Amino acid sequence: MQHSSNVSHSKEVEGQLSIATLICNLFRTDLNPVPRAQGGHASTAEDIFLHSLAYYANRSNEVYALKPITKALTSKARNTLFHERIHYWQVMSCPLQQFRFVAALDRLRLAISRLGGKPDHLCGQIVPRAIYGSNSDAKIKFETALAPVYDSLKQADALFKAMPLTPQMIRLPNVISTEPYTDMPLISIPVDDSDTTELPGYGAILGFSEGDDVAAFPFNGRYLFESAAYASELLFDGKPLPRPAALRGNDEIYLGVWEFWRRLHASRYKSQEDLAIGFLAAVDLALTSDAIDVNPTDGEYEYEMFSLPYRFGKLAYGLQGLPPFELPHQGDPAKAVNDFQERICRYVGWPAPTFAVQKMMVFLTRVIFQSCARYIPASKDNEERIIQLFTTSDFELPRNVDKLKDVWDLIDDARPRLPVFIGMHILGAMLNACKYRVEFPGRFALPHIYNESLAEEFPLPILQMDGEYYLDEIWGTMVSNPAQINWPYRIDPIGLLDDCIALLSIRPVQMGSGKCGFLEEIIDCWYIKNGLGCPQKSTGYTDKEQARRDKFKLEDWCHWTPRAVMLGYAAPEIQRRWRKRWASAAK
Amino acid sequence: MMDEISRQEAEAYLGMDESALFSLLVPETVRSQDVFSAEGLIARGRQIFTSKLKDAQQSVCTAYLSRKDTVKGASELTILVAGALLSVSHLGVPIVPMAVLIVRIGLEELCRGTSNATQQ
Repeated sequence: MQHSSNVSHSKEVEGQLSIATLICNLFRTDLNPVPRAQGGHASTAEDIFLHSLAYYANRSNEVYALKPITKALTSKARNTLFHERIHYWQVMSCPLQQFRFVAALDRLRLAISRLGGKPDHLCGQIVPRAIYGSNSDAKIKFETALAPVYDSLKQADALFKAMPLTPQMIRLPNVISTEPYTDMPLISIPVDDSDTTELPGYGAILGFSEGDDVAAFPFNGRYLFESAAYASELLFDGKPLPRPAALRGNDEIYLGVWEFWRRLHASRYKSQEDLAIGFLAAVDLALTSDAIDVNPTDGEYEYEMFSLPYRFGKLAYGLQGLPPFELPHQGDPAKAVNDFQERICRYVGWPAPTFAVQKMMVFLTRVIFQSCARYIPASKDNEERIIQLFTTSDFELPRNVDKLKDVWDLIDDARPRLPVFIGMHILGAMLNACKYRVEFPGRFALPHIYNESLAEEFPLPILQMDGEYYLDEIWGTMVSNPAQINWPYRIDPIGLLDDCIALLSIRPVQMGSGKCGFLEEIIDCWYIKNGLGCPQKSTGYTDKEQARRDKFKLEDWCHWTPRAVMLGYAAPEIQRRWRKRWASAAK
Repeated sequence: MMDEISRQEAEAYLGMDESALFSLLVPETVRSQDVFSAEGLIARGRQIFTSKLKDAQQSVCTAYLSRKDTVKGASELTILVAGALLSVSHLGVPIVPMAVLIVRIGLEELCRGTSNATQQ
């Protein structure tokens, strides 16, 4: 008997969130695949914008033609937007994801250094080479310090991605039920083809009453992210979570973890709503681990903190021994979730989520501060604050995060003097997400309930659709700090957007390529969509594109140009030409 | 060119549904590391297809119009189109899945209005 996919579709817009760059791409589903010639005449407004683009290009700044997303989407498309926002909130508030982001910045910095460029305009946890000056011993330390970061990053990447659960990965079966067949095997997850390292985790093998279909998947981050997001989407719509008769196609990714949880726990819960929220609480707890403070000698504890599939498997299975989650009739659902999560942590001997997040606040503050260090005024008080930041134990400082406020004030004070540091605004937003978790524990687990507050405090930094860029709804109203929190990092919406665009345009350096990431990821950027062509396309410009660039004296300006020149890996001729333009404009 | 893409390879991809074919056009790093809405991966693949088809349309239609009376069957059409795609520099997507999708759209539809110098 054929079963169609259980995952609902037929939306007018679908979405993708890039974990590495935080750009949300939206795709219309009513596209005619056969390209038709596009007419189009440049408008006066577009010409004015292009004049300002060229003006700011001469001053090494990019400007963006931004529109509010509300005007571009109907209400039918809002579910897709909600789904992508959930992913953004997951990435911003998950300690392992935050670590991955910082480690990826370090990987970019080393790659830029190897291309002969200057990595100093990127944030990272390894101190920039420029601070060491020409000390060759320090340069070696910079490169060798990255090796353990690289290994950790490769492992974190493997533990996140979607992959089939093959028989070769199974180390120990753990059959929970035979009707229907439900197995939670202990598995080994390969890191990558070139690495023999394997990481322990758990997965699920699910048979169904009808037919011979079997779904098999690891509890990797992608499955946890997508299952939680899809479940939240259904709850937000007021729809019940499904009881699938089979898992076909995408179903494994969007429903697999939920179906596993339902099989283990449904009989213990009085209500479907409690079961669903219990699921979201468990996934959120799995994602909120004390990921940065583990050691290979920690034994199983290392896996419980660092391996998402291990952590979730242990959690889901072990919760059979605890009373189920119950939503209070009145009272705060987020508090109930947080209390449930803390009860679980006491039961299994894990650090509470709040502690893990407070540790990340210290970690992120240190990383951000390292970029600002040279711009902090030298004084005895400042010196003491800095010493305290870097020498207070990782156990003590997280318990007193309010002591970081002085450092946050120093960073804020230094910001007008700072050059560009790619990634800093995203790190600042992550720091704010940690603060939000501490102030409002449990809310990130329940986006369907706290959607308004989360969307107000953490709107998507940038949306891209058909080559046009959009601001998320709340940026359009420019409401600031509705939750009245003392944010550690003052958010600059354009700075955040700049970070995202920069990270995509420079992304290929990690593969040793100086090409633009928009091209490599096959995304037609704003310049292409607006008749300016791509300086890096092998076919060159069309006559129209060349004429347009000539008219506004843009030369080869695009997203890639200012970043590749600033980071020093653009071709020497390009660097020379643009630095000369910038110097002339500065006179 | 015909030898480079085998009939076996063409038939393997011809047996796949469109959703799977569109998904294959998405770069592997994006496919494995990014997160998508339920049909997001397929929609992304559609967008890539549309974008790349613009670059490839002329080459594909020139090849098709010059051989359309002699090429028979979906496999041969796929191999013909894949050969034309190979000549497009820096296409940047898997060739055979792209070719199968073009064959499924229909080359008459795609190449309507495209002139063929060899027919003149």
